[in-house]
Amino acid sequence: MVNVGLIVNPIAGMGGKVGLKGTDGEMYKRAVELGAEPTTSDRIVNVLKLVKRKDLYFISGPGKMGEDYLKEFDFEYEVIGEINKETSGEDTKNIAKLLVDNKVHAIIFVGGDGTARDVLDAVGTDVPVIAIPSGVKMFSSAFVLSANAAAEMIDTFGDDFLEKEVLDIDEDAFRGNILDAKYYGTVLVPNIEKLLQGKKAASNVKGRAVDKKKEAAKYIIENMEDDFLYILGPGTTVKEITDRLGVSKTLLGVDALFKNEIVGQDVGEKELLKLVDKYKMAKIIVTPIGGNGFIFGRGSRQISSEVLKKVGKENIIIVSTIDKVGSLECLRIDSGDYEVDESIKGSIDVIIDYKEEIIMEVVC
Amino acid sequence: MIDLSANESPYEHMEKEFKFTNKDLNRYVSHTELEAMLKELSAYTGCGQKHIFVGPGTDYLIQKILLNNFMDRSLVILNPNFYGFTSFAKKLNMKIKRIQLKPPEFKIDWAGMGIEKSIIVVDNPNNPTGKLMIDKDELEKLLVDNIVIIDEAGFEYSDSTFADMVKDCGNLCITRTLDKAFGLAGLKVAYMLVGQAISDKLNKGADINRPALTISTEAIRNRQYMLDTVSNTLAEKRILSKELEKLGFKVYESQANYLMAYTEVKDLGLKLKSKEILIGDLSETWLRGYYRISVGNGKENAALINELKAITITGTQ
Repeated sequence: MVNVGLIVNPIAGMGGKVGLKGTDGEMYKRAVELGAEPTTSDRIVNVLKLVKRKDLYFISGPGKMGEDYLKEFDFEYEVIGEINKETSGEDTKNIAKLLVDNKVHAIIFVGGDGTARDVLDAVGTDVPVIAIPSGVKMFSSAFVLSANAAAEMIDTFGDDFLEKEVLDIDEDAFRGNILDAKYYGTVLVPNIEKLLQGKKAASNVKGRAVDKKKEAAKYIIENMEDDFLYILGPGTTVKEITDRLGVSKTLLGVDALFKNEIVGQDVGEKELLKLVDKYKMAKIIVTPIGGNGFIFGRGSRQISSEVLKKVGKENIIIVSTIDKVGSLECLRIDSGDYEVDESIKGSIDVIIDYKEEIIMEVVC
Repeated sequence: MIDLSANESPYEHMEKEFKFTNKDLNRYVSHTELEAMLKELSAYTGCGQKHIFVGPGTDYLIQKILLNNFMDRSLVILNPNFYGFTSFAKKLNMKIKRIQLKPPEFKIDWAGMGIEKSIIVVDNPNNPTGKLMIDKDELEKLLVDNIVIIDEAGFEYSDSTFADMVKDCGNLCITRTLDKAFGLAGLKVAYMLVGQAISDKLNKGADINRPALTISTEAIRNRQYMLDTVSNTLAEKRILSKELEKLGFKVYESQANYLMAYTEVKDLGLKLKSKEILIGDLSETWLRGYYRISVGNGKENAALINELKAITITGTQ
């Protein structure tokens, strides 16, 4: 049997219909007061209906966090953990941790960006996830597009996984109509690309994304120049470089590297400007945000227009995996300074593997 | 299963269309047989025999070009593409540059790319967009400093070719295949028309087996199947395109035997697969919402449209 975990966030998505833009924190109570009703139950039932696989053994959250929906089907299952009457992110995290301890092969969860963050906190990349969207905010690229895709993943997942991003926006800011998606990390999701291919697969689906990221990092390191300061943006793709060098980089922050040593960790704009002045020559290494393709202006605001002005387009190195960048029509920049954006727009090379690049267009 | 995912010809050959028999299998391909095929290809393409090379599939032929010319050159290809030779290029330690195709025009600013000292592979018409990617002026400029391989796999459908340039452009190579309009995908026979500078480095030999060579030669000599297939496919393509548009798809004009279409319907590839219909799903490997649909025969296309009607009625969820 294949053990899979199930976590349903029963309150995810309730804020949407009553115009609350999310149910993180105390907003859940407000949603209930406004008459919001749970929506996640339909989602998970629709997915489970489509699952054909017979060898699944579910380990599920209790009651409305999973058990209630499994009861309607013939799947074998057991229930794990306890939950509060009014569930919260803590319940999600607790169950997720128990599932990791139980060595499940994958965790299916239903919820929004907030739920994805809770699962990410508890699971990281230890266990792959199948993320079924049911929230108000679903900016994370980890989410599947439809019930069919979720069922296909459950039916076919093996040992080939892709890293997908967990993004979330600040709900308070969002209610004030400010949209600022923040990158929180990556989870592993089953790679169903290959399963979809017919006789002739697109040439970029050969080889595992994880290996290509390592190869890209190797290529960047081989081409690093001693006299340059390297400003390293957030994300696992960039972190692969420092991992390979054996130095420690923050996952979500912007760090600076000189002669293979970290000279600034989780630095802000001012420190970056000082570092650039000190070392005179600098290069920036960033990876685009999946889904929207932003290289600057979202996710890593520390690399500001002032920093970009000093460094210049010729010293920007973009690195990505082909599965991420190949799914983007273009890359985007919104540094806040029109002239800087204009100076960077146009064709740019993105490193996607050892000695392999893709030419993308940057638009603003 | 209806397979509209691999751009094959949907029309079967007749039982006794080709004369090959089992009795011929104990012998290697003879020089005379190869000559006969080259003669037919020369008449069909208008290129002299010395420019023509035959091999088991386009990937094989392109690998042959790479192997003889890779030193100090990068490989430039479009993204997405459906070739297998990129891993071969990697083994040769070539630098690879992909060019991302993007909507709405899917056009490439060749002049603005500043490509030099490269081997450039352009499929024309392009797979998956169905568009012609390069014109004569652009090609001439690229040929100054590069080897250019134009893949005309869809030539019989597009009726657009650069074959007449081969005799004067040493660095030009045109690949074609019998997989598509000749309906011989199962034999996997391709040929290329090669300029002098490249052909000088290549060995001429019979790289394909006897059944493949014998049947291919006959198919090129008697082109009735191909002509019928092309005219049927083009007619079916017009109908399919209109039907898809009626269902709300954005359909791109195609010079090939497939149509690229865009839809907001989520996971269309998976939904059709569950109904036993395969189409080319570009959503996961390229841009979300884009699909490449090979033009099938009337029955296959009607079945596809029927399923699509059912799917689109349920909305975009």
